[in-house]
This record gives sequence, C-alpha cells and structure tokens, in this order.
Amino acid sequence: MNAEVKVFGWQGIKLQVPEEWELAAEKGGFTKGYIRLDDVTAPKLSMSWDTVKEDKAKTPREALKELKKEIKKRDKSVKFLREDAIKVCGHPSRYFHWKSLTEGYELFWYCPDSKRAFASEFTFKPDEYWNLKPALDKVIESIQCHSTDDTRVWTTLDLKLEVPIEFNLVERSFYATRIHMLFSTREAYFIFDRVGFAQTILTETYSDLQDWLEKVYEPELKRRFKGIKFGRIRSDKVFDHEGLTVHSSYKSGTLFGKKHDVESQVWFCQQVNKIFAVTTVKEIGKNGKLNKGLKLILSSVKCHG
Amino acid sequence: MLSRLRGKKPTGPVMPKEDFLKLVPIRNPTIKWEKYPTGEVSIDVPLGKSRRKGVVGKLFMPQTPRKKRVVFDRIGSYVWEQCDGKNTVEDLVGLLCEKHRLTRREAEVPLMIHLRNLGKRGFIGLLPKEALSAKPTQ
Repeated sequence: MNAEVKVFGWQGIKLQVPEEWELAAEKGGFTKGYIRLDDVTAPKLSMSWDTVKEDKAKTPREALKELKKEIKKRDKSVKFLREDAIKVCGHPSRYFHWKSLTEGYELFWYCPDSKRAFASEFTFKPDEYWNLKPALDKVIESIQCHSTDDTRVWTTLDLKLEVPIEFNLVERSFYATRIHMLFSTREAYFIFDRVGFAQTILTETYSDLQDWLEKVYEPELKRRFKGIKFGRIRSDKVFDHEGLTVHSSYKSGTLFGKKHDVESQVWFCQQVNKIFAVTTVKEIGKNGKLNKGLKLILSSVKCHG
Repeated sequence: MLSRLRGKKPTGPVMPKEDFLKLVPIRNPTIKWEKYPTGEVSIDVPLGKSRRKGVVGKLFMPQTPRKKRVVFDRIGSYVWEQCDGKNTVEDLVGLLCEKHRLTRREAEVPLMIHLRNLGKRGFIGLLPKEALSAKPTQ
C-alpha cells in the first residue's frame, strides 16, 4: 500500500485517501447521494448519504443493527468480528467489522451540521487487512462531512477545484477522455472542461485549438445557453499558456430577460497533454460576492504542477 | 421470467478487474492487417461467403468470401500493435499513460472497454500469461 495520501472531496465531503484510490462511481447530489472509490484492482470505499431531520435520524446502533441483518441475508456465512463506538468528524458514530470471503467495515453516523445521515463501507481482502488497517484508520480520522468554511473541495482524477458552497454541481460527465463539470447558483454558472489525448485531437481531428473551440466548444455552449452571442476569439495569455479568450453575451428568459456576461478561456497544456476550457456566466450588475466566488474557483484551476 | 420473454440474455459472472489486468491480449492470427504511413491500422474482417439468391444467382454469381475493412484511429492502432502476446492489459495501461500523459483511470477505462469489444468480435484473444508460456505437451 502506497503511503502517499491525497485529498478527496465531493458534495461537501472531504477526506484523505491513499494516492491510488480514485472516484469510480457517483450519483445524486448534496442532499442524497453515493460515491465509490476504487484502488487499482477493486472497490475500497463506498459512501452514501441522505438528508434526514435530526429527530428522525436513526441512531448509529439502530442503523448498524439493520445493516447487519441485510448483510446476513446476502451472505449467511458472514461473521461479525467487532463492533465499537468511534467519532467521525466529531460526531458520535458506530462501526462493525465483518468477515466472509472478503472483509469490511460498516460505519454509520449522523451529521447535524449538514443534516445528513452517512453510511460507509470499506472492503478489502482478508490478507490485506493488517497492511491496510493504518490507512483505513487515517481515512476514517480524516473524514469531514460538512464544510467548516464557505467553500467545498471537488476532486476527480488529478483535478481539484475549490468552489463556494452556494455553487451546486448541476451537470457532470466523466468520459474516458473528458471531464465536464457545471456549477451554478441562481445568478451565475461556472463550467469546467478538460479533454485528454489533446495532441491527437488537435492534429488528427481539428486543425488547431481555435478549430476545436469553434467546432466543439462553442456549439456546446450554444446548446446550453440558447441565443448566446459569441464575441471575437482573441489570442491571450491564459493560465500561463498561450490560449484563446472569448467574451460573449447571453440573455436568459423571454419577456424580461436578464443579461449575462459570458467569458470563456481555452488553452492547451502540453505538459499534461490536455485541452482546458473554463467559462463563467454571470448576470450583469451582480458583482461583489459573485465575482469573488467565481475568482476563487478560477484561482483553484491548475493544469499541471 | 419476463426478461426471458423479452429475449434478454442472462448476465454471466463478471471477471474481477484484478484478473482482467493480468490477461495478455493477442491478435487473431487469421486476421490480415496493415499499417498505413499515417500510422493507422486497418484490418480485414472475414464475413463469410456471400449469399447467392435465386436460380440465376446460384448459377452465375461466384461465391466470393466477403470481408469488411475496419480502420482504427491512431490510438486504437497503437493498442492493436501492442497486442502482440507480450504485454498484459496492465502493461498496456502503463504504455498508454506514458505515451499520452494520462492518469491511470483515464487510460484504464477506455482500454478495458476497447479490449473487451475487440475480444467479443474475435479480433483478439485474451489469454492468461500461463497459457502463453506453457510448453506444448509431447
């Protein structure tokens, strides 16, 4: 097991995980959702959460009792080795260790700060346990189930974004060669795209970055923001790379539409062989906190290093 | 039972990822392929003999074997060339990561899907390493 750890963040959850654990599956949103982190060979951690009022939430003991029944139904040969109370992010929690052909921990706790109940499962092979135990203990110790400041960390693959809590993730896709994430508030959007195999794309499929921008990126923005008026594409220094910027405008609604400023920045990073595209959309006249929020997200975008 | 009525195939056991990574992809030796100067690889896939319909067809049309040409893009072509029986799937992941500066997961997911598709179509076989290194019994 690699001793190196990294920060993983998703939907207001933050924890330190071994370097080789990656987000393999996710669904839902802040109020109800699921994530699964796999290492190179197999799933290692799955976590699900649901919004529940504090007075309606099950106690960890009740929740684990039900979980044990479910596991026993699935696998009659399972043995429950140990059950104990611990703290997760300062909240009272309970876990049990089960063993069958594989082994695992089931962990349950309620977070009154985010009003969410969490159930986590760690799975591993029996012969992995003693090597993995220090890492598992560190992962559990590091879990933060609610934000302590006004930002949330979002990580996937080697990408990390810091986003103000008022921005929700409303759209995302993780194809093999492309990450797409769209965060929004009522008055603004932040759109992030990262495309792999960039060298091949920019030589075989498109003539250059501007060609990609015009044939791929702008049509996608047009589909999302109907009626968007694109400005002139300009060469510019973008995130320390020679890139392209486009200032556009967009009017939402029909009769009393609101005008929005749209700023797109696109660049190719040779070091990681990827195309990056970020677009901010904000309602004209709404400055201050919104600008600060968008600047914060932009400052967290790093293409390499 | 309803799924059987709908004609759905029952799903079989899925090979664990750990085991899949240890397999060695090897090109089907009966498939002819060539590499163009641009770096793309094309393979000729036999489709079986053409059907000759009717009396006229059967009397006058020659029964020529049909084939379909599949051209891979540069990345698919590279993967095809590496399916030489010497690299495991794990090795291919590493090669793709190095060549295209990808993270492991970025390379692994499309590669595994691509190899499974090639395997399903009979273009490659996926064999355990032991099967390739085993000496034939006399």
